[in-house]
Amino acid sequence: MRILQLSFLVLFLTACGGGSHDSSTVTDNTSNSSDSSDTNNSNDQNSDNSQDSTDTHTNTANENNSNDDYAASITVTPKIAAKLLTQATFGPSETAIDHLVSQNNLSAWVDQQISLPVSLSQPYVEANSNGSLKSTRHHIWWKNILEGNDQLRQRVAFALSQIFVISDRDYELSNSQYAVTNYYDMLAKNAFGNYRELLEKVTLHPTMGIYLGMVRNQKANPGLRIRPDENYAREVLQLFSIGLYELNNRGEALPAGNPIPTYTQKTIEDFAKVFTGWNFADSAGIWVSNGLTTYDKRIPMVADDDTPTGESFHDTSAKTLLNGFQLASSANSATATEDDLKAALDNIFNHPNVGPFFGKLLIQQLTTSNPSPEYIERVAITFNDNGQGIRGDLGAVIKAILLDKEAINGKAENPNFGKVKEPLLQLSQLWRAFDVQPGAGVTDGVYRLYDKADEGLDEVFGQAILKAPSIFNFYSPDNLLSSNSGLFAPEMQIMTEANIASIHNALRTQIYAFNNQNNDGWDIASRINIDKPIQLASNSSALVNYLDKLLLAGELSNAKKTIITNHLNTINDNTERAQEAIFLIIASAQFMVQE
Amino acid sequence: MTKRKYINNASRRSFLKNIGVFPFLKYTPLLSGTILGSALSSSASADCNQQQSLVCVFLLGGADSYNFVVPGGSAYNEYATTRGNMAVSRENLLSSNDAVQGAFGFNKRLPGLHDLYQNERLAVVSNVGNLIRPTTKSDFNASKSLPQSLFAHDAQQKLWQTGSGNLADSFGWGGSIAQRITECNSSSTIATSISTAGSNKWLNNLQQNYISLNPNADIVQMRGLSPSSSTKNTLEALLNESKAEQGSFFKQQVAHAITRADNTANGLSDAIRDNPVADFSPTGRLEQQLHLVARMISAREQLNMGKQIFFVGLGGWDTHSNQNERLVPLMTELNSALTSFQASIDRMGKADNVTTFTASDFGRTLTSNGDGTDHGWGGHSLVMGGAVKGGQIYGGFPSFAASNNPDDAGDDDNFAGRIIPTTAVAQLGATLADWMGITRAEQEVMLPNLANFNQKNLGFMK
Repeated sequence: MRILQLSFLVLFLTACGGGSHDSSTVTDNTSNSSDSSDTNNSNDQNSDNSQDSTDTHTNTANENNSNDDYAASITVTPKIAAKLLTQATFGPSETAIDHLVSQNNLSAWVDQQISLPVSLSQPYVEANSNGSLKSTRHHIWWKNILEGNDQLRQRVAFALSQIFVISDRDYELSNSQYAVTNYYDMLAKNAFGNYRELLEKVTLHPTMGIYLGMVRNQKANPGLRIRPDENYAREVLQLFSIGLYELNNRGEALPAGNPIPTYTQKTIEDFAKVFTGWNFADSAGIWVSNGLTTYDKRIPMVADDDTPTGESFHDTSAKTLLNGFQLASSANSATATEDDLKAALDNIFNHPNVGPFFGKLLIQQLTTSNPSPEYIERVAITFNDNGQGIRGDLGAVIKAILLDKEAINGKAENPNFGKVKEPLLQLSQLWRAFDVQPGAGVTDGVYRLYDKADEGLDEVFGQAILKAPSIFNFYSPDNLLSSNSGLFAPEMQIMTEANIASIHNALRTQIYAFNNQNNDGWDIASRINIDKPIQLASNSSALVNYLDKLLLAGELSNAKKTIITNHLNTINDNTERAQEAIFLIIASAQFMVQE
Repeated sequence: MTKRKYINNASRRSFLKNIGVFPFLKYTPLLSGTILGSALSSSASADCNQQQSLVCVFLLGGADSYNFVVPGGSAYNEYATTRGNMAVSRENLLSSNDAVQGAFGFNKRLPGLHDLYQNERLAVVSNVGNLIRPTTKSDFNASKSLPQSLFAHDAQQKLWQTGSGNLADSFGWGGSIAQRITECNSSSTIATSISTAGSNKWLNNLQQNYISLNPNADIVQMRGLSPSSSTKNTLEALLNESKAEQGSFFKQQVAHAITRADNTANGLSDAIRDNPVADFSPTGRLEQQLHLVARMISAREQLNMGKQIFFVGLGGWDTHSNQNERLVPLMTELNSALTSFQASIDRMGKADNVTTFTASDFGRTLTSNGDGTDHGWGGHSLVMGGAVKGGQIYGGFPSFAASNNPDDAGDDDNFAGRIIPTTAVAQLGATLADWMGITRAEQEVMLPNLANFNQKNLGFMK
């Protein structure tokens, strides 16, 4: 019985994720800015060419990963190419599939992707938004993920944005669009760096300081009967790094049914003490509520001892952290606030859970919702040591995830392999497969789904970049495929009846009305190019095979091919045939799943 | 998975095997048909002649409900000392009374709820939360029978919704009630359980999927599957192919979800259009959801639904920072949405068979972290409707003492104020399940901790 599978579900709420060090040397143009709030302008370059440290990562990954040997032995077929491109990019194009087939080296492709410079969002947003206008960061995000060469980096940044969650649904972030954009770019720059550095950048980013309340967090004041805010302390442990229960490298919380908690309430209270004494970088001495004040929220938070009482707000008392680690009193140190934070982040980083916990979250984001314990273990081992004695090398971890035999061979390795395609990726895949172009009537180069390009899209898809309903993201890693299923299907949480219907209608309109053969109607709507499908349409079977390769990684069964082909053969017009074929595939269950 | 879980599943399964035919299989197929044979449902005691709707309003993030309702008299001074800058001042309270607790106040941001209380149409269930068995401070200090992962949002939310102390249990008591009354809807094409706040555990059950509606968008038909569409038959053939695809659970379930979405849109679009409930014009997020719920309640006859279970939600309650500012719009919206909804139900003449209650991940610390509060445990729930014995507080207030507090799960040195619940979610659930006509034996299956509490029914329903 399926329900019995519940009994071996490992019951840990994996959440969390990963990160990496800022290996990318991309200069953070804004970090020197002293302008107030989100009103600064930085350069216009949309892509940064410096890439030294990413090269370093490529090398470490190469030398370490035993997957390389396996991946090198693989002959890259169109099917294998399309699968990897579905997992690692915002959707395959025919050109990309053909290129990967002729390159015939999955590992080299990943290395190349890791080495590409990052496509930034911030310059565009600063040039086009006043800091409150929310649409621009969505515009540039779509442009980058549709056009950018750094597909893997953007895909991983998207994954990280759903692990280290901030959201501008929060009222204090909604007017901080430069800062929210800066946060996304930070994730993209650090996508292949080291987890420890990423964790520190996440911790000290002012948007996170606001979102989880660490900014201006003060030590206990018995007179006022106040004590430190526990919010960041709790979520950094539960969601960003180690999770609720002790795990082995296979991601199993043992003993099953009575797992061992990773921390207690007392641990949270001590971490809360660690995270005291930090302020916005350009507002030293101001410790009022951060409510509506305007500070430059792109600059990392700083330790600020300039307090109204003349006494540091950092709690310097001794603290007991994870696994009994004793952090001695820092009362005599001039750099207590920074030192305690670094020691605490080291303590988290070195917890054995991070590899399996964070590794599984990344696996779930990229390749499969229910990885085998062996797959998790292989990824965790790479996290623990990239082969050169370095822990937390995210470039190596990503490579280990994508080139694992389970990722490449799917169901042949694990019968439960696969995942539901998240809604935004359904649109991006359709658009990228058919070389979408902004509507002829637009002057801003913005991609629009009929008239929607930003705020409106999440009403259709239930999802938009950095716009989750809470720190728990759009969906939970342990959301069940169905009530009685033993399988996880995180993305299914937002494939609700309402969203399925709205996505169905939106994509249908895109295919039938907004293609390059149909010039009626909205000239601001982006158009897909269906020349190639029309060209093939006189042969229904050739058309279906082409779409199968492009949209379904060659997974369409013969029975389904026959159903579609028979339908197409009843249509005389080639354009109509092409549209109908694309729609039938896009609206099918098969397209909404990647296996 | 625990042994306990096995026992629960086994007992649920054996229970399920003994009951009748499940009428919704025709449109809410489950995973690969493996358990369909053992179909199910419906309680011998559910009275299908009495229409009923139960509405759970979940305040996501952990609402500081200790500031919804505030003790009076000498307890107020303790409350004020302990809460410090989080305390509601006396002048911001609307005075009320309870026969046992004496004078107390509603937050002045909740004037409509105060009125409902005064009119005996709203009750307060005090200091309710996740408990496995009655729990004292010494039990807590000895880690005796505690719910898993106390003080963590998602864990406590899940336990509140499943009524369990064990995270391995995944069936919600709302869904379990629905499963046992679904025979009252046997001629309807709409699921008994409806969420307007997306995925949740409360409506999860073994046999029937709940449906999720989007209150911001019209319920429209899926055009590629509409009867006039050239693609309808072919697309359905493709979906059937996926449903039959052994070894591809993802494709199977997505195909079922697409069909469910299509059936839902087809089944609801007319009824929703015909029941605009125009006397209720929603503005906020919660009001939009409750407006949709009101339309579905108005459409009960048209939809052939005798019983309905709704889950709605309002986020934003995780007020670690700027609590005093942030609670103002949240409470204002809560007050406005609940009172507008109740007024609308009153005008339909259905007040006696619609019951609405609030729930949250947990209550919050009584103490302040400077400008907010942190994760606590017990909190107050509000229950309203014509069938509620309102104007009373059920279960006593906890101690609000700043030191040596017998109800505090923390220690004085950390001024914790994480209050141990004195009433269990299972008791709240059982009281509502009694009202819905669910037998005690069934309640003890769906609320696995209920047996540990002497008083099963808290008495707040007529």
